[in-house]
Amino acid sequence: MASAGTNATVAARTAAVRLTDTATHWQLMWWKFRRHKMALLGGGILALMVFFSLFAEFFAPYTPQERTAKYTQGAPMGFHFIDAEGSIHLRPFVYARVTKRDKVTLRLVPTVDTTTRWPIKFFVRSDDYKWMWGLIESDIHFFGFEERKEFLHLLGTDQLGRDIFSRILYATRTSLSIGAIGVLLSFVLGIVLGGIAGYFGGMVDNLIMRLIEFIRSVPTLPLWLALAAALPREWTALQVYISITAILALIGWTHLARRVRGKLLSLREEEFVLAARLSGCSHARIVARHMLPSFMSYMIVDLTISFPYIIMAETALSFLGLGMREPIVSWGVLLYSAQNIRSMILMPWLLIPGLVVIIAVIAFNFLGDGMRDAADPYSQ
Amino acid sequence: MFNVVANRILWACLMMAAISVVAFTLIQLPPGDFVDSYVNHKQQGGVIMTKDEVAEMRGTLGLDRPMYVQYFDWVGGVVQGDFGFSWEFRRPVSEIIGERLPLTLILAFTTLLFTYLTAIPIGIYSAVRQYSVGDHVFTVLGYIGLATPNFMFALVLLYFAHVFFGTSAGGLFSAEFETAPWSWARIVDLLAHLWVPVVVLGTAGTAFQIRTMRATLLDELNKLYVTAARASGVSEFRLLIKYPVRMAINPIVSTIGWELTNIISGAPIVGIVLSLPDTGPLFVDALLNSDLYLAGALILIYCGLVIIGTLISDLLLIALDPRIRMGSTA
Amino acid sequence: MGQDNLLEIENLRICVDSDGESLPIVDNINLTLKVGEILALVGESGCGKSVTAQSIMRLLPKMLKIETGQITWHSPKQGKPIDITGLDPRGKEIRHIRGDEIAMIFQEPMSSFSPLHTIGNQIMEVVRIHRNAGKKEARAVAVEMLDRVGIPDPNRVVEQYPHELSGGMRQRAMIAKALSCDPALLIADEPTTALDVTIQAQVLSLMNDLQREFGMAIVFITHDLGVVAQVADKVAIMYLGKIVEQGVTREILLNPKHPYTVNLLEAVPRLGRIEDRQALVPIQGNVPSLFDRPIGCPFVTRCSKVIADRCDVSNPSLSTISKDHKVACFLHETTERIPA
Repeated sequence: MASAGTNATVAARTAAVRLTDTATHWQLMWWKFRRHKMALLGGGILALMVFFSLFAEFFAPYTPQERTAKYTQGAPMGFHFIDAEGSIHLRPFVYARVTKRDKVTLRLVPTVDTTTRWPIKFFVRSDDYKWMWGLIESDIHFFGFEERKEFLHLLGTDQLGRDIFSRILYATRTSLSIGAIGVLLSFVLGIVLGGIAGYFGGMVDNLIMRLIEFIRSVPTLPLWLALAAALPREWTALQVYISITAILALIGWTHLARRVRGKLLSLREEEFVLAARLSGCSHARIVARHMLPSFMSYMIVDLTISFPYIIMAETALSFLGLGMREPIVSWGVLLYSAQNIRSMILMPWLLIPGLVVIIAVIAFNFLGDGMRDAADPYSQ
Repeated sequence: MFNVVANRILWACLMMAAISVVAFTLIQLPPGDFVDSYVNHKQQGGVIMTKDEVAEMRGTLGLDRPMYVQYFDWVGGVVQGDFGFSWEFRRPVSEIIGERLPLTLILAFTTLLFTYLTAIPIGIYSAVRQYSVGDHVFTVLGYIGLATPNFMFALVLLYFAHVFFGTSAGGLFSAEFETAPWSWARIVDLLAHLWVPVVVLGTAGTAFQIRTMRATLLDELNKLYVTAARASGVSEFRLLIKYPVRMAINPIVSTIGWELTNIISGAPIVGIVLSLPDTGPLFVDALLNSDLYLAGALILIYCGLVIIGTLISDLLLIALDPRIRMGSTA
Repeated sequence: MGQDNLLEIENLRICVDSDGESLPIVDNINLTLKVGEILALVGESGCGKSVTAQSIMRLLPKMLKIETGQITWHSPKQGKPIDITGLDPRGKEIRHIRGDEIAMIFQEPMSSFSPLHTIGNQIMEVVRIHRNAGKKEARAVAVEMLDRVGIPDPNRVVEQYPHELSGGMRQRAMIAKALSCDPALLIADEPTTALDVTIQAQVLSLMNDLQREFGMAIVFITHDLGVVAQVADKVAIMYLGKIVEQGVTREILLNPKHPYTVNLLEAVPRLGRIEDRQALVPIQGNVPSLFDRPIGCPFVTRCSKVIADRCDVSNPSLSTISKDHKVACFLHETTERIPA
C-alpha cells in the first residue's frame, strides 16, 4: 500500500541520505530552506527593511517631527529625469511647488510649477544627526537639496507637513524593534516557564499548563488595551515603549512554553538525560546544555511565526492611541492620523504605512512557512 | 461522557472566576479611585472638598475596606446584574451595556457564521483541487487576508466606498433607523449595513480556517480508510463528504472558541473605525477616560462570551467525536 | 486463455511522474487468475506488488498512471469480460465492480475503518450501495457477516466504533465488510502483517475457511513465504517492479530457480534448520532505488551468480521451464528451447 507513495520520494531521500553523511543539522535546514523561493523573498524584504530603518538618519531626508510649513497635507511628489520641454537631465529633479490661493475655496494650495526645477543632490550635507547612541555624528544624507526652500516628499506629508517617507523609515525601526524585543522576552518567558513545567512535571506542570490555557482563552486585544490604558499618562515615551513591549510579550509566550514543555517531557525519558544526571549535572545545566539545543530549530521557527502577531498588536494599540505616542513614531502611530476618516479621504497617502505593515507581515509569514518546512525532519 | 461534560463546565466556571479577579485588578490598577476622580471633577467645577468629606465619601462607598472585601462586593453585584456606575455617562453600567450588547452579539455571531460558511467550502475546494488556479488564488488571498490588520481593511473599505459610491460604509443603520425602535424594516436595514464589519472582522479568521481545512483535508484524503471506502464502491462525492470532510470538520469545530476570541478581540477596533453603535467604541472610550467600572464590566463580558463559546465548541466536539466522547483520548 | 479465467493482466506497465519524467514502477506484468484460485504476489516492500493490486481496482494514487497493458475482468455477475484499464477510475462502471465483484482488505486494520463511524455503519454502506437494500436488511447482513467471520456478540459489535475493537477483531470486521457482497475476487494486501503472530495464524485460517465457503479467488500480497506456503495455489515473485519467477506454489517453493527466490527461501526461518544450527542467510545489499535501476537484470547488484557481460547488459525475460514454472534468469535460459 505504502509503496506507491514512498517510491516518489525515494530519489529525494537517497539524495538527502548522501548529504547527511557530511552536513550538520543547520546546514541541512539551510539547504531545505533555500528551495523555498517565497521564504527567500520574505527574508530579503525583511533584510531590506532592517537595513533601511537601521540607517534611517542617513536615508531619511527629514526627521520624523520636522515640518514643511509650505507643504502641509501635501500629496506624494514624483521626481523626473525628463522636463516639460522634453530635454533629459542626468540628475533627477522635482518641479517647484508654489502656494496659490484657490479661487473657489480661497484656501492656499500648493501647485506644481513646471518652469522651475529643483535638482536632487545625493550624499548632500544637511542637518546634523547622531547615530548609534551618539557614537557617530554626521550631516550627510542620501538625498536632499542645497537650498533650504527646496523640498521633496516622496510619499507626501501629513496634516502638520511632516514627511511620510522619513517617518515610515523611523517607524519601521520602532515597530521591528518592538517585535524583536517582544519576541525575545516571550522567548525567555516561554523557555523558563515551559522548561520548569516540562522538566519537573507533576504539580508545577499542571499549574503552569492551567495558566497557559487561561491566557490563551482570553481575548487578547481587550486585555492588552486595558493593560496599556493602565500605564500612567505622564510616563516618558521611552518608559511607554518598554512597558508596551513587555505587555505584548506577557501574552505571547504561551505558544513557545507549550512547545518547550512538550519536547522536554518526551526528552526527559531519554538516556542521554539520565547519563547527564548521573554524572552530576545540575537541573538548569541539563535543561540548558543537553535538552534545549536538541529542539532549538523548532523554537526559532516559533519565534518567527509569533513576530507578526506582536507587530500587529502594537500597530493596533498605537492606532487606538493606547500604545506608542508621539514623538516616538511606529507604524501604528503613523496610522493613528488616518483614524479621522475625513482626513484619510483627503489624504489617502496616510494609509501607506498600513501597506508597509501588510508587506512586513506577509514577508514574516513567508519566512516562517519556509523555516517550518526546513525544520521539520519529516518533510522532504 | 457525563464526566467529560461536567469537567468542561467546571473548568468554564473556574475560568470565569479567574477572569473576574483579572478584571477587578485591571479596574484597580490605575492610580486613584472613583472618589479621586470625583474630587477632581468637583475641583474643576470650583468646589473644593475637605479631607473629612472625602474620607466620609470613601466610607459610604465602601472604598476604605480591604481589597478582597471590595472584590466580593463587586462580584456580588455582578452576579445580580449590577456592574457598578459609569462616571462618564452618569448612569449604571448595566444600562449602557444593555443598549449596545445585542449589536455586539449579533456582529460576533454573524461573523462566526460567515467565517465557517465561507472557509469550509473553499477549504474543501482547495484541497480537492490542490494546485489548481482557484487553489492558488485562494492561497494568495489568504496570505493577504492574514496579514492585513482589520482596522486597515476597514479604512480601505471606507476609502473606496467614499471614492466610488460617495457613501459612508460605516455605521450599522441608515440615518432614518438610527434611533428608531426595532421593526422589520430596521432589521433589514441592519443586515444591509452589517456585511461590512462582518467581512472586515471575518477575513483573517476565514483565511486561517481555509488553511486549516485544506491542510487537514489533504491529510485525511491520503488516509487508508478513504482508499478502503473507495474500494467498496462509494461514489467520490459521497465518499468525500462522509469521511474526510467529516473528519476534517472536527479540528475546525475545536477552533470555534478560539475564533470567537479573535472576533471579540478585533471587534472594538473595527467598531471604532466603522463607528458602529456597539460596545467596541464604548470600551475604548472607557479605557481612555478611565471609566473603570464600565471597562471592567466589558472585559468581564468579552471574556465571558469567549468562555461560553469555548464551552460550546468543546461540547460540540464531544458530540461529534466518539473517541473523545468515550474518554479514550490521552 | 482458458474458459474459466477470472482475471487476466497483460503487459501491465505503471509509471510514476517525477519532474516530467516518467519512470516505470511495475513493468511487463502478466498474470492470470482462475475462479476460486489463490495467487500470492511476493516481494520486498517497494517491489510494486501493492501497486499491481491497486491497479486491478483502479485505486492508484494520482501520480501513478497505467501506461500500457490490459486488465480484463471476466465478470461472473455481469457475464461478460470488462476491460478495466479502459474505465474511468472515478466512473460508475468501476464503482459497480469495487466492493461488489472485487473487494479489498488492507494491511492496517487500525486505519482502514473511519474512526467516526460505527463498524455496522461501514459494513452496511457497502451492502446498501450494491444490494439496493434498506437499513434493516443491510444491518441484518452486517450482523450475519460479523458472525461468519467469528466475531462474538455481533449484535453489539455492529454498534461499536473501530477504536473499541482489538486489531485482530478489526481485521475480521474488515474481512466481513469485504465479503458482505459475495465478491468473486478478494485482494488482500498484507492482511496479517500488522497483527501478532498468534492472531496472524487465526486470520489466515479464517481466510482459508472463508475461501472454501464463498469460493472467491484471492490475490494475496505478502512478503512472507511462510504464509504463501499455507494459502496460495500459485505464486509470483516480484523484484523491482518485475515478475522474476512464477508458477504453482509447490513447484516454486520446492524447486526455486531464480537466485532471488532461492535467497528469499534461505532467509525464512525453518525448524529443521535451527536444529542443524544453520544460520539464516540474509540477502546481501539493499533493493536499489527505482530511480537508480541497474542496467540489465534488476537483481544484478545483489546476485551471487552474475554472468559477466550478460546479466549487467541485458534484461532476461520470463521463460517457461516447465508447465508450472516460469523464470526470468540467464542461468536457466537454456531450458527455454526445451518444449514445455
